[in-house]
Amino acid sequence: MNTNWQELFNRVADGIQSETDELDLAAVLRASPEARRDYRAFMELHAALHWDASCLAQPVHERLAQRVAPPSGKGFNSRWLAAAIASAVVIAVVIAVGGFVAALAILPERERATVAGDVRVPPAASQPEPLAIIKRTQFLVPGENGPVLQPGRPFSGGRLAIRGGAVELVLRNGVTIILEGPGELDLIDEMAAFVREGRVFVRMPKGMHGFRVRTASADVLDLGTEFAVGIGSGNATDVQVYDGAVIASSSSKLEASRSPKRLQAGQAARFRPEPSAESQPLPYRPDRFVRELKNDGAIAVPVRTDEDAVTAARIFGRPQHDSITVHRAPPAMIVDGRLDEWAGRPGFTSTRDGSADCPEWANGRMMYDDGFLYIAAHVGDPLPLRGIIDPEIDAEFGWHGGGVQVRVSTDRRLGWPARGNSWGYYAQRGIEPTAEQKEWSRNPQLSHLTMWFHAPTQTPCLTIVDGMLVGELRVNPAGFTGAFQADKDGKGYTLEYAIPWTLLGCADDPPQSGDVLAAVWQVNWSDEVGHMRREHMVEIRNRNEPLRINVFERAMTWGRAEYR
Amino acid sequence: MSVPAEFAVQITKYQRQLHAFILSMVWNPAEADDVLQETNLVLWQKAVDFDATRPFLPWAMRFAQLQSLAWLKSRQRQRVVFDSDLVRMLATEAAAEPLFDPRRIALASCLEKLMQPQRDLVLKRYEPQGSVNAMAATLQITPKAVSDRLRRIRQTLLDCVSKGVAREGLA
Repeated sequence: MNTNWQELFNRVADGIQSETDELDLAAVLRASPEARRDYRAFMELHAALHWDASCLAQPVHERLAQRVAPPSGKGFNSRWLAAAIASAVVIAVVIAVGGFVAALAILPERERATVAGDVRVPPAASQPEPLAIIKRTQFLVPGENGPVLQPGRPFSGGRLAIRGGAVELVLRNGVTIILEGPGELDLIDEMAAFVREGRVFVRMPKGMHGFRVRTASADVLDLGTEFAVGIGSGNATDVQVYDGAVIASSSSKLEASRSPKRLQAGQAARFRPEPSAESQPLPYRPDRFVRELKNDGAIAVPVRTDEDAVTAARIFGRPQHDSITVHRAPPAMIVDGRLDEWAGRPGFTSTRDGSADCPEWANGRMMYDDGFLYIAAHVGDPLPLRGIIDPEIDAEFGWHGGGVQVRVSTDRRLGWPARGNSWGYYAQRGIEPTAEQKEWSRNPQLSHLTMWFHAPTQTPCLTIVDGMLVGELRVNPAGFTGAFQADKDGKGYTLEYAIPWTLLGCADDPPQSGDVLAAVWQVNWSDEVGHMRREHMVEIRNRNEPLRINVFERAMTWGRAEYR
Repeated sequence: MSVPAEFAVQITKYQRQLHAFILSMVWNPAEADDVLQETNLVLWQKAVDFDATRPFLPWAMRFAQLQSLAWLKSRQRQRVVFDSDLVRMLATEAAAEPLFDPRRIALASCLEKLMQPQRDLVLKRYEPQGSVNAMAATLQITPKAVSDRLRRIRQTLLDCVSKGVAREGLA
């Protein structure tokens, strides 16, 4: 970028520009397409840092804990997910506040005092602990671009959106919230949440009350209780009380329909957003809402006493990507290791240790058509293509000699995330899997692919194991094609494979455009001899799973393969 | 009013791109947030006019452009330098930018490569109410010195993003 432009753009971005700078900027933008291109790239960066810096440029744990829960004001809305949706809801919030005031009017003095602040924990700014901790997740499908939702992780407030499964939060004052997906809520502070979508269960600690849940059509104030709120069709809000009582009111503009209702344990009611609608009693159904989550069993490997961060990274990798695009392949694919057909179909690029100049790196890509899954990689490797692992003798150890492993789910009904653990996962943790968990582990549409080059015979090799490594090892099965090419500079190689869906258990229902399935990559680098793995890296990993779990033993750790 | 489902998908998908464009007019991220919100409100009001068979972004950019101009006028700022022709040209080109998503994706790993002091500086600058003036007061240096440090970091990030996109074969 032109140095003068660069300095000018920076002064403008930092608000220290002069009037002359402003005139210069306009002049250069009018005159030069290159300047406009650079200015666009610069402003994209400026915008992205504003959106993302606090959650990307940091060791996540520490800084999340320092963040103050965002206010519910203007800036808050526009920074959290779809400000568009927020704009539409703002009106509803204003209306809901009216209902809340009405509810307060009928509360006894003691309860009003509680709502006003008796039990509130001081603001986060004076306390280092986060607003909430993720306690459990079950079958979780997180929302896009949201915070990491691993059990044990802090949640600093604001938008919480999930597309499936459920997540349980424990707030720092002891309040428990379970959000069922698809669902979306704004955790405003330790005593208030706004539910936009989905179903939410709230449990107050004994002796505490005053938690408030608002929706577009209702305002619910807890009086010491367990209760649940669900948003249904037409934005109607269902409220059900399990224990204690709540004061619930409609957010309708009409005074008559807004009059607060007291709901006791064993009662339920529906509140509609229409102006004239009054609340309707509903039959009480204890099992309508999820009140308890069973942990999925994401149990991380304990930290060893002799283990430092470098060793941990060598064991579990340092994944930088959580998804890969699987592009539609062009017609007439030729698998020759040259990757001519892959132009314009990006995947991921990572280095083993995260540094820019690391000699071990990989550019991984995936494509598909009606008959095949295609996998290609350009791998930076100072000791390329030396593998001596004989597929006829030691095929299960093919990865020792370098190469690429890709683990994929082709189960369209399962979607993402995949589920299923290896027998070893259970054994090492002393867990007896349930019959259902065993069934997940045997899913024939989970496939572990190992691709390596057998140097003595100059042969591209492939092994496939189904399920969570519980199926039979298939060695160089008929139907696949593979090819390797060494880089001219001797510092790497390319590989290209075409694997028919028939080998992946889905010939009758292969992945389609729009599918999001699970996949994870491991790239292995061998020693000089080509029989011992020297290093490896892991990519395309579910960031909501603890890092200290090996990807080959838990399918939930696999990232997203997005079929286009 | 019945809003097409596709509209909700599209308006959510393009929030960042709209924000980046507005920021190129408004310069201050927090103020760009406000203009984005006003743009969103207008877009929702116009949702029934949205033709789902046509690209969303150029259509939405028109409203972002109008809201940005209205904001500039209301603030009596840049009114001379950023006229409607220039704003329209920037909007048209921003709507056709093919590298927005690849650059955003590449940025994630580039941020990871920053040294801790650089990360801290970026975080301070972009935290709510963060400004070079406030940072200068804390660090006891001039705002220009702070801005120069940020300039070097931004350039590092831009170079890294550019390389990352090139590596993916997109530029």
